Amino acid sequence: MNTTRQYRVLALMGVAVSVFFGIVALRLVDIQVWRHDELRVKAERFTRTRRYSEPWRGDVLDCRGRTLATGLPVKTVYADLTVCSNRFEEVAAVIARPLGMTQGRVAEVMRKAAQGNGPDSPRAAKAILLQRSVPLWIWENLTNALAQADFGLPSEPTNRRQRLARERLRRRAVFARDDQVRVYPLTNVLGQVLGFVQPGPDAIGLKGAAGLELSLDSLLGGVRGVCVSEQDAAGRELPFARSQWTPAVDGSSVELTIDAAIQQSVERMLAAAVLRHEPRCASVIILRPKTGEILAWASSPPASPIRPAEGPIDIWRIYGLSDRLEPGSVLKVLVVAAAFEHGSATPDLPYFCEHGRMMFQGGALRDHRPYGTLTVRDIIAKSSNIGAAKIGLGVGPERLREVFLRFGLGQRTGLPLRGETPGYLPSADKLTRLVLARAAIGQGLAVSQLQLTLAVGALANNGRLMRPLLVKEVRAPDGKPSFQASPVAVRQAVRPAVAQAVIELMRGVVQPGGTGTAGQPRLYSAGAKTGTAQKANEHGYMRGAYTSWFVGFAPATDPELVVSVMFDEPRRGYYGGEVCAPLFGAVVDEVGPRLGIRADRDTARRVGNLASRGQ
Amino acid sequence: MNLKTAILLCAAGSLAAIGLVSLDSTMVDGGDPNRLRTHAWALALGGGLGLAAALIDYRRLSRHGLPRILLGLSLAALALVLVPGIGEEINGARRWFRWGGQPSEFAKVAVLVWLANYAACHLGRMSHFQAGFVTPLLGSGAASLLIFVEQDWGTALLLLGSSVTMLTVAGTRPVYLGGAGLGGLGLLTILVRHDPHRWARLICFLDPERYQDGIGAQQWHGLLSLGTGGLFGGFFGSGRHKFGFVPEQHTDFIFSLIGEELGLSGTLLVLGLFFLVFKSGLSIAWGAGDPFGRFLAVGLTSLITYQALVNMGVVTCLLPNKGIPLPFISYGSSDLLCMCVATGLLVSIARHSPEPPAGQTPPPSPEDAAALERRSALHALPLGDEKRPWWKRISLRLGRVGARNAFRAARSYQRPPAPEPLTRETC
Repeated sequence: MNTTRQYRVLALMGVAVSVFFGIVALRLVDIQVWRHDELRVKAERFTRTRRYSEPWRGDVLDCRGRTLATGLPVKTVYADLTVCSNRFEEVAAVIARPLGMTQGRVAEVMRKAAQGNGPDSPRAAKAILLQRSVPLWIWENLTNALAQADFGLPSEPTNRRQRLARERLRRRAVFARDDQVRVYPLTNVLGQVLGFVQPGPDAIGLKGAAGLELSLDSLLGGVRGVCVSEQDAAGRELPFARSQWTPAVDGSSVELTIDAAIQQSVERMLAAAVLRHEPRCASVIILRPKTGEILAWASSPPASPIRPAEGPIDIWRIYGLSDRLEPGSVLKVLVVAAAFEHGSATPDLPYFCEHGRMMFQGGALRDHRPYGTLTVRDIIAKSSNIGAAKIGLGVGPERLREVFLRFGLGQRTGLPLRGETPGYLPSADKLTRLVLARAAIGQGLAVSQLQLTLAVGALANNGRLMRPLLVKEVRAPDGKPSFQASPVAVRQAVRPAVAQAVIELMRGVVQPGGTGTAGQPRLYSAGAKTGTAQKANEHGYMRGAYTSWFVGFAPATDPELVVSVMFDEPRRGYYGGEVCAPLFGAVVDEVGPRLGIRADRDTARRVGNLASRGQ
Repeated sequence: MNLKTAILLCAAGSLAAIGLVSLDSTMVDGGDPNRLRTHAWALALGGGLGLAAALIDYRRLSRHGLPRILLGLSLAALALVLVPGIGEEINGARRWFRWGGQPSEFAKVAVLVWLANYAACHLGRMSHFQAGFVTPLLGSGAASLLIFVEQDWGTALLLLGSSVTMLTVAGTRPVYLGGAGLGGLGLLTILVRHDPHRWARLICFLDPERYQDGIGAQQWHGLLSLGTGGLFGGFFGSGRHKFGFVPEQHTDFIFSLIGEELGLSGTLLVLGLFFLVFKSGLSIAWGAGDPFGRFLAVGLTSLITYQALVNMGVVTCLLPNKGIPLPFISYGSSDLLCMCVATGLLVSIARHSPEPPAGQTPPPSPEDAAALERRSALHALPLGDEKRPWWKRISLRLGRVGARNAFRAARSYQRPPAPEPLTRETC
């Protein structure tokens, strides 16, 4: 055997192994230089974490500090499959009863989650959602049950391993995250305006879904805290690698101008009236004309924020805000105000009302009752269409439109609620004489109930249009107010003297001979205007479908309240003076004393008398 | 002590130091808190054993039937570990004694000593089928088979690879070894292919991302860990994958930790150090005074080098995942001791290799000889010599192809003063 061959083989081996060294070196360059960015990004998917901490949602209060919406601390309960691994049944047996689930169901949830992970998976799911919104006392029961459970292991563990396994199951098999549920202590009071909440992203936290909860979500919801950091394979944070930590900022509390007590009683009264007249929907708005504060806003059918999923989502519409409706005769007061403002009429100017029927521009204008000559005062009190149309024609299209605009028609009011309609006001070039005549009696244009209420409120406030207020104060989590509303006048719509004159006319509506005598409150003098608008669809005005209106104020001498009642498509009766007026009177009599408004009529201030139906 | 010994010791020492620091970096993963101390003690013990191995004359190992005793002992230990009650089963592999220690690591060195001795004794008959192929493979094959049974496939294949390298150098016909290797590989493939689960386990290294939730998790996270490092990494202790993402990052996958914390600079440093170990081991084999020393040096060098290469290949997803530690670096006392003893033996072989006679210029080193040869080939030989085939002319012109130079170097260095003609008989 000669050694030459040995050395040849040695050299060959040297070369071959060197080649392998070279391959490994190339591969290292490939991985660590060329694929560095790709692999780093993929690695960060495992190592980096971004955890959010949910802020506590602020309360909604009424103007006297009563809670309309608040939060209740609860737990969201999870099972850790990495710990439970092969003891699903045993763990389920312990936790099922406190959670109000069956043992089979709990075990099935865990087993399904485990299977979804794949049989080969070394990393079982950390968190399997078992139950949401678990009250704290139930969670306490659950942890007590867990702390004493044996999970099928011997109750007296003989060795360390068994004891450790039991401890591990007891401590880590089930865990919970803090969460909150929204509570509405007055149940469905102020339902549509309050709105409701839904679980936030990642099934933790709350997110507004409708009403004020939605539109004030950024205030109520606060700011989510974020923690950007890195984690180990078990999902535990590496505290030294934390790169960003911003704690959550709790939401602010919002105090509304709504008075819960008034709201509640108005809702009850509305419910009773709805039973009588069966409208498709109805709404009552009460506001203070001097400040624009909305005191109550009742809607029917009511919506319950507690179970928002029940019933059609359509009922979450705020009828007084989102529905475009023809104002009907209520608009006559604005026409008269325009005529007074521009001097084209005075309260005692007579108009010939054509005995109830007037052909005009190829169409017919009718009154509900034939009248001869009526003064402007009587036109308002008896709600003559022909008279109002003549007054409107006397004002002229541009002027009338301008006055409507000054009263806020055709514009959003700026209330912090979603879905507000601006209404519809025909543009100036469309205001032919026919359109003008129809507009003067409230046809061919559309308003929201809130707009109309504010416009009448402007008349009751010496012609000054106020911005509606719903949020009275916003309080930071530490209790300090961060925003306090103050009354804002939008503009002087008409001269004060004009407003006073129109108010005088409106008093006639509820007095004997007017269309709204049924709306006369017993305790207060009042002024109002009735309205009955035939509803239209794409084919024209519909038969038997009306919007009934009654918008008024009290006391008449120094108005403190404006109440508007709207019944949409009532099935029994349709005249505003018949359907809505009694509710107006009742509401004023109920709300006025609660607000400490001095009664200026004393027809009902007796004690001890027997009341009967005929009285 | 000559240069190659110094290089060997420095490289091995640097690797051990890197290993110690890296192991310290993995201590945060919540494992055994005594790990670092155990490793340091093992390193000290290994240093002592290596020193002892370096101080004794390696030729003593071939006397008094010591090789056979070593082989017998290792086979017995390998068999004993399979006995329940003596051996302990961890992760499905039964390769540890209950009181610690892996007999397979001891067996690696023992089998190589026996094989080197056998080849040296039967030097003239190594090209025979029976004496040069069947008998030596029976010895090392028995050990490998036992290790195989212990579910330690990687070590078994590694031992077989080192044995085959040594036998090839010793003169066993490559046809036999190649045939046996191909046959074994075919058999293994058929066996594994039959079981789709095992097959997936074997080939998942080709696309670990696809299997990242299961069998490919370790390699995939090792790859991510390496890739995160980039050119220079963070620094010692900056790794994030040691927090449970890469299982066994303190043992088999410590290379990925080095790659993450020190970047390409660290991994290439480790690779370069292993290359130095390999190079100096090869020079020691080259200059060994007798066939036993040469074969032993080849076996030990290939053992260390192959193990390092396979480990790094696994971490870089060039090879299927088999539990093989990185020599000198990975945590694991048995392997560390084995590697220290192997290094010590290499030093011993270097110490007892013949010195060039005093007053004479030492024979040219292989590199110098290669350079000389290349120069003479380029300048002296007529490049356009028509007797040479065309491919030889081209390769001569290029003149820098490594294999060719190495061959020439080997020939020029060992060529006797009066070259005897190569005949079939003398081979």
